[in-house]
Amino acid sequence: MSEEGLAAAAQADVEAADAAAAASPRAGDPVGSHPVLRAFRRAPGGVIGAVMFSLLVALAIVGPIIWGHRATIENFGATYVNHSAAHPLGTDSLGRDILSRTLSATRLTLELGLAAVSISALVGFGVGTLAASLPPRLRSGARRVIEISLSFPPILLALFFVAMIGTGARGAVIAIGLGAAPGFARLAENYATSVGAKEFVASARAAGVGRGRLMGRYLLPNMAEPLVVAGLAYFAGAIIDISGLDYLGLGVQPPSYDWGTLLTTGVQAIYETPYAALAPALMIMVTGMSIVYLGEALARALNPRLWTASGHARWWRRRAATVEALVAAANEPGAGRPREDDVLVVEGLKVLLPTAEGERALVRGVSLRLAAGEVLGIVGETGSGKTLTALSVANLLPHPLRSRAARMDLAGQSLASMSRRRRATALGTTLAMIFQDPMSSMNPAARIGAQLTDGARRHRSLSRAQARSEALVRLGEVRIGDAKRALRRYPHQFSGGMQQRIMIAMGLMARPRVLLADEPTTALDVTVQAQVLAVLREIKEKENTAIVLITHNLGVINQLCDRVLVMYAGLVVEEGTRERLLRHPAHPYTQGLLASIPELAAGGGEPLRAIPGRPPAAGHEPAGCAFAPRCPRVFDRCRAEQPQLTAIGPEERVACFAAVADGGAAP
Amino acid sequence: MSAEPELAGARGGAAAPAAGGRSRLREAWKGAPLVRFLLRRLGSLVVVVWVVEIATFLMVRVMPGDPAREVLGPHASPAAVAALRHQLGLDRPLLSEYIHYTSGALSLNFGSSFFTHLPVSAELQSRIGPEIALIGLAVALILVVGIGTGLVVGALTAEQKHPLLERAFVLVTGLAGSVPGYVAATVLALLFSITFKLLPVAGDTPADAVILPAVSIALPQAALLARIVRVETLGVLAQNYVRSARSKRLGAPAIYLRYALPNVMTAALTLGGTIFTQSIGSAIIVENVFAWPGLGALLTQSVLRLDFPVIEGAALLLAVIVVVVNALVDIGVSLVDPRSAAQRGLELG
Repeated sequence: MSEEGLAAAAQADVEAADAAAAASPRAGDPVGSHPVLRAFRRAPGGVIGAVMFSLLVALAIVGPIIWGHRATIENFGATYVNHSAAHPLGTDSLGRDILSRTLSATRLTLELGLAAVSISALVGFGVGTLAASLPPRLRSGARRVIEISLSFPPILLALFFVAMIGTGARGAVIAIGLGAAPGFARLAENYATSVGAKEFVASARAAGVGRGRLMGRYLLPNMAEPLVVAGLAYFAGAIIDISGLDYLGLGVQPPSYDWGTLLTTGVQAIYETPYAALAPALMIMVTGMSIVYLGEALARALNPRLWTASGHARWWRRRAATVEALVAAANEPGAGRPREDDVLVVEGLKVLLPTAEGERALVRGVSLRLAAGEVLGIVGETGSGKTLTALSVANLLPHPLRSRAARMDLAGQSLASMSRRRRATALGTTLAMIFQDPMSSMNPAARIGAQLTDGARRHRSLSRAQARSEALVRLGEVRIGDAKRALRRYPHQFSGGMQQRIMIAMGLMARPRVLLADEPTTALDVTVQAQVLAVLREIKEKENTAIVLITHNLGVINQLCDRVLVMYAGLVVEEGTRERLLRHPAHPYTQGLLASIPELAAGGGEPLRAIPGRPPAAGHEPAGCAFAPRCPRVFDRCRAEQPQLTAIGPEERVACFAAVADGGAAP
Repeated sequence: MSAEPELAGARGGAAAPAAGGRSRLREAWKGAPLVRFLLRRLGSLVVVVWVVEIATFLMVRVMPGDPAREVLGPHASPAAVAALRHQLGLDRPLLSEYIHYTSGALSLNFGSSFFTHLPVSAELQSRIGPEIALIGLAVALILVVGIGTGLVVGALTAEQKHPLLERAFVLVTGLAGSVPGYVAATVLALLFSITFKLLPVAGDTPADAVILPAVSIALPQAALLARIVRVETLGVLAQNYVRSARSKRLGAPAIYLRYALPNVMTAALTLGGTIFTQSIGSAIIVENVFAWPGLGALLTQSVLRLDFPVIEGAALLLAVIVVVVNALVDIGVSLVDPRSAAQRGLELG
């Protein structure tokens, strides 16, 4: 199960967010343990709850039979005994044995709780499903009525009903049952409405299935599971509420006794015989907890997404540590020749995902260099590791991913050799990142002004007024009109294009020397795209900022980039200047990418081609070239040996045996 | 290039301008979802209070058996029963009696208690102050302790750090959350006032006397809120905007206080109404344990004695408090979070 879970999730998408999801705890199930053990490890509370609850039910059945008689024997010679061999928990005012009374009260307590929850379920379920089957107009009215009755505390409703019905066990049960009915009604109404909207119900209705049969045959089985889970929670609540009424003297009346009445009389003599109050109180709590745990486990079992496994995480980490020792620092060949004005140098970057089987490399050794004022494009399909590369440079990889690099220098300083604090300052002042989804990347609860200025105020020690006036300038640069007013607004009050430009302004507030832009134009329409690209070009030209532009859109590359990296399955497969790479791609993958884009396809007459096949699953490291299965020029060596990046020109390098053999022939 | 047309003005909540024009009012109505929302909320509040008033009126009239006979017991003379029936208005037609009852309720006149013979309104008046003090303190405790603990533990256990702390937290809050209020109250009363003699258990109004009942009410709910807030915090910390804050290297305190907390708060405040309602509910029982002179204790005593005029007054007053506070919480949340106001406006419309 763990294998498939990981593989499926990884295949779907390996960009940052999903890589974290792929590492979901399910992946780490230790192999070969007994199913019961596994269930226990997954939800220890659930197993304990189930066992305790079974014991309680058994006690409810046999309790009165075994201890029922002893519980009623009065002994005026031994009243208020605290503790003795004959009465381990003491006796009450009439000399009756507390232990026997507590044990045999189990049945009545559970019976009353069950009766109350049955009333809630029947009334609530009836009202709820009835409401759901009403025509829309009436339904929303009925829903309001349910909501209103839900806004009152159940005990208040119960008191109201007790006043009408009268005190005693019967009144208490009915009152508590009716008091909790609105909760059930809402649940039933919600589920009936959502199940009723499903296709199979609609088709059944269309096929002329009557309302009654529709309810019994189609709706009930689908609603059963959530209602059972909720029913358990209400059961625990009912037991506690009924004992609450007992406590007030409104519930069970003597000579009958449940835990609530035992507790109430026990409290009156708590100094003489503390166990008389503690024993039933403990039973009430134990019952409540066992039912709650059982319900949680049931909910969890029905919904695998809730499985947690903090234990597994530790286990992975231990495994990962041993693998880590084996993974030596990557020693990839340097990325081209070094240049003095490089502001970012990355060599041999790997991004690793810890799994039960050890670490899997999602990025398998990427090297790149970036000079001031240069724009480097990174292209590749979803899952090629573009975003992960940028996130590792920014030190923002999501848990549990980790990165390792032979070299990572920012503005001439090695990030690895810095203390945490210094690294944070260095990253905060020289590097900024622009994210793909601007709406979700801005704090919805803070004004734009605060979000623009907080970084600059922290790292550059600007005053509030200085930061504000700089923010106004930056907003002007990204062409936000009425910047003063914009500062007072919240992110959701702007359109997507404006949000993206505000994000850019936010990045610029740090006066970064390197700007990482992760698909900054993906969600935008073409005219807005052009605006965003124009802003980026201006920054590069005016402030000499280096930009890494991640995209899968070669058109964007064409408009802005100086150099381009092409990534495939976690590796750089080709690197070169924009002109060379777009006009004369050497790698078959790059050629395929270009051929699939209308405006860039060489020669008007050639038909558009899609690259056949799919990229390999993330973290799956083939022996040879990862592109081999999809490559039109594949030969035997490609499947056996991994091609290394090889220079085919002054600025051009390619990782392909066929292309190297051509000698970069094409121009 | 002008950016104005791009501004999503209609979503602007309170900031939306009431555009001038021929039908100013209509425009304002359309352009101000917040105002629309407030008016709707006020309208539904009136309706709910009215429904509750009808329910309290009907209580005596639809209850099984003869209320007058129930009150006076089986040995009362038929004349006394008839007199009480007349006093309760059971001998008059339903509609005219309802009008009589409503006009009384509107002028806060619910008649006199069967037992103390004092006017119900006076009885209620003396109880409302202690009730507010108790509930106010309890809710404040729940919010501060619940949100604080949940946020801190959430921050500590994010990304599967500190698994032992996570387990201990789940266990302790689970335990504290399943302690019924009256059990917590009894244990606290024993521990603090009698064993340690630190705080008074019962008493009329010395300021300390409110602490124990408030803690008894707050304990289970603070535990549950802390659980919810922890999960909410984990969710918020995984959001993209927290990643943005990290990318600005703002440092942990700023990230938790300015990015995580406000977003967690919105969620926690949405629960504010429920927390308040629950507190009123558990106060009904806890007040009896500590002999706190609140409305809940009054209601319980009256139910025990079948003191119908007081039951009607106390139930109606408690219900009105619940309804009004729920509405205020809703409105408060909308003001804090302009998005939700707009959404609600659309949802209800």
